[in-house]
Amino acid sequence: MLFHPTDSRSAGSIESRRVVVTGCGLATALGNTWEANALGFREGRSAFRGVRRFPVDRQRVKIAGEVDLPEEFPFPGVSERDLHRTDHGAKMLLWAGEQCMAQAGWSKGSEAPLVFGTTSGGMLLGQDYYRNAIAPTSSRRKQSERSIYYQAQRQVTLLKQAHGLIGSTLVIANACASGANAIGLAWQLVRFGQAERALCGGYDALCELVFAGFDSLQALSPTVCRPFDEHRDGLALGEGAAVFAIETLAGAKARGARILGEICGYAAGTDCHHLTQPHPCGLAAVDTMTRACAVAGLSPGEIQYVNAHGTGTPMNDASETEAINCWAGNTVGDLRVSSTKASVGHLLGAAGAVEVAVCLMALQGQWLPPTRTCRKPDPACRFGLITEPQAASLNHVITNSFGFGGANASLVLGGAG
Amino acid sequence: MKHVVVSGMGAVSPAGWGVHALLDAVTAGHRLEETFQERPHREPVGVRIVPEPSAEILNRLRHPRLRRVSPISRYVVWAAREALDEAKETLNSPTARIGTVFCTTSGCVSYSRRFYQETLDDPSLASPLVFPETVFNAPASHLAAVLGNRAENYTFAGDAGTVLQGLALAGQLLLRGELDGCLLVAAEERDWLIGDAFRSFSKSIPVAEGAGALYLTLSEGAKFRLNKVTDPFFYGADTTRESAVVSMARQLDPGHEGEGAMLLDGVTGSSRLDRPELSAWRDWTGTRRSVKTVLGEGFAAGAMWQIVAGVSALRTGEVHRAVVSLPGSYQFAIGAEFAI
Repeated sequence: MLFHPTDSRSAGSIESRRVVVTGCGLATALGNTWEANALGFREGRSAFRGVRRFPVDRQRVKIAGEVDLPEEFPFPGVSERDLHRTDHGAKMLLWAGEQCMAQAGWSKGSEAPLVFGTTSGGMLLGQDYYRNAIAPTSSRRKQSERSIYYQAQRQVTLLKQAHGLIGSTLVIANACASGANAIGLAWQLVRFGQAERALCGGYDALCELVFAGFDSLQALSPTVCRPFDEHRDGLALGEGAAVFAIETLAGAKARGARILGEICGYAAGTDCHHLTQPHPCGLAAVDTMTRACAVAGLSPGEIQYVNAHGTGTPMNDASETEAINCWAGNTVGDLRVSSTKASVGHLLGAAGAVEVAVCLMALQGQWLPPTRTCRKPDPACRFGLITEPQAASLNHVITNSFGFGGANASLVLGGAG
Repeated sequence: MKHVVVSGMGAVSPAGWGVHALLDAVTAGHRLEETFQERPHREPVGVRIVPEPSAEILNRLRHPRLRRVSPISRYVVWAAREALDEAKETLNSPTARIGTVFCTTSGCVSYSRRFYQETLDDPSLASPLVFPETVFNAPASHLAAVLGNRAENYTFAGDAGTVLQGLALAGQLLLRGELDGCLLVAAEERDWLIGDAFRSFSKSIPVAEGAGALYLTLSEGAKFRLNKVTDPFFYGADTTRESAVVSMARQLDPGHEGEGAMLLDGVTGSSRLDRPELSAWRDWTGTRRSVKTVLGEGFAAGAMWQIVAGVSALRTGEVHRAVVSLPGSYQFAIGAEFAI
């Protein structure tokens, strides 16, 4: 049961357990494997191109970080009919899930709740539905299936069924913090004993509605996305998915699983300042970073690297810079910070999840992913902004995700050792 | 021993603004008046809409963040405030940690449709004021801003049963001591697009709009408590809707012990849609209320109306157990029980 009276008996006496990552699959514009992404992020490659998925001739901005999946790929657990009915977002999710499950080595029938974040789930199908609904002579033949497969919960359920997992599915739609929130909530389920394992992450596909939305806000960079650059002028959109298998450290060790890293802390909060703009001082960001570190039992001085939300918009990066400066205090000079959105774009509901993967790669490889498009760091940055590839000695890192509506989340990650 | 309890409730429904209006309509059991919304190139779709708010209600909803919002955000704020008012929770304590879990099936659909139409017409003229209101968590964000609440705030999108997943999560957060209180809110808004999509499942059941809210806290001496939330039983290749509903009913109420209990079922009035649930609960001997037959298919909001009706029956002493059965439209069946 999801909730039972016996839960009440343990109120106030719940012990926490260490939780590790034993599987990760991802798809971004840099590639569709861990290795391709690790190489790309380590070098700080940019993977943008002219948008091919929908017409952008009347949009102000015309580039994004698109993901090309193989034309054909096997999903043994998904029927041809289901696969045919899904959209690109769901396919990226299934692709990342397939890699993740292969790496984790979980068997079919494993009990594992699924917790995923997305901002617009199956919006590509939603758009198809709407265009058909308003067309004077359209057929309604596929409208029913579009209305079902459009639902993000359906897409996550397909992933669950593909791998024979047993457990609930939960879809978090906390805007651009969704992926981080999903990993944080799944981590809590395992940490506090409500599950031994969980599959979690985030995904989002580029779609016309969202692209036009960010363009209408003039949030997209008409030049080059340059997070934390003094002359930054906006973000670049991307798409992608990242899926993680997480389980207790004890469980992973008992079955001899390869550990990719540890999730050590998580906190979420709300910035009430504005629907789309962060508080200028980043108060909620300071709060979530501070609390996530406290949960992990770490001080800011024990964090070597921040994977910033770092969208490249003037307001986000100014606010986050203030927040990082404030949170790190007198240790800020030793801190290294970068935004990997310069490489693949802002992946919205997938951003927090893909950035957790980048952190795990950095911890594993002991390197720092650069923001190479940043030519002249904003003088407000009192931390070390990584603009060139470099090796590092990393024990713990933190990743930030902030979304519309003031959704803020921070995750603290540690190495496999 | 501390238990998860309902300290306050709120509702906005086609019956009116407030819990009393909802309960009066459900108790009376008469189907509310249906209105019809135009849709392109086809006959209008039946909907049950929330009545226009009174001047007093509008006055209470005055806030800078609510100036341009679509109806769903107003419903969310009203229902949440009603629940907090009943619980006398002012959120004035600087140390209080009051979380929010917001659940919705369709979300801010009216602005999403409008913005996408603007994009199709000419993306360079699409409104930057409308786009931010299309995100699923916009209503929960507005609520946080109105209340000045900086605590955790989660928006869950999914089938109606997502509300009970949210209820379980809220209960766990409270029991772990991470929150002092938690608002669980669910809401939907009307749009012809929702009615159009739902016609794939039923041509006779009108969709409904509104919201419901619970303010949940921990208590040692409360009269009744959240007793259980079942597992979600998913529909899929190996599991029919029928068998999922039976599994849920078995886990929720193995002995069908209906004496002194009320079943708040998800029966809609459509024989095809209702068949699995009617079959699963055919041996139920207690009292029974079918909120949807009165109000229509309210998706996540409708799930919350079922809970509000059940908790109200416990409060008045009408029953000592309230069983909520939620066979969702698309994804899974799930249930919950509140009991003395």
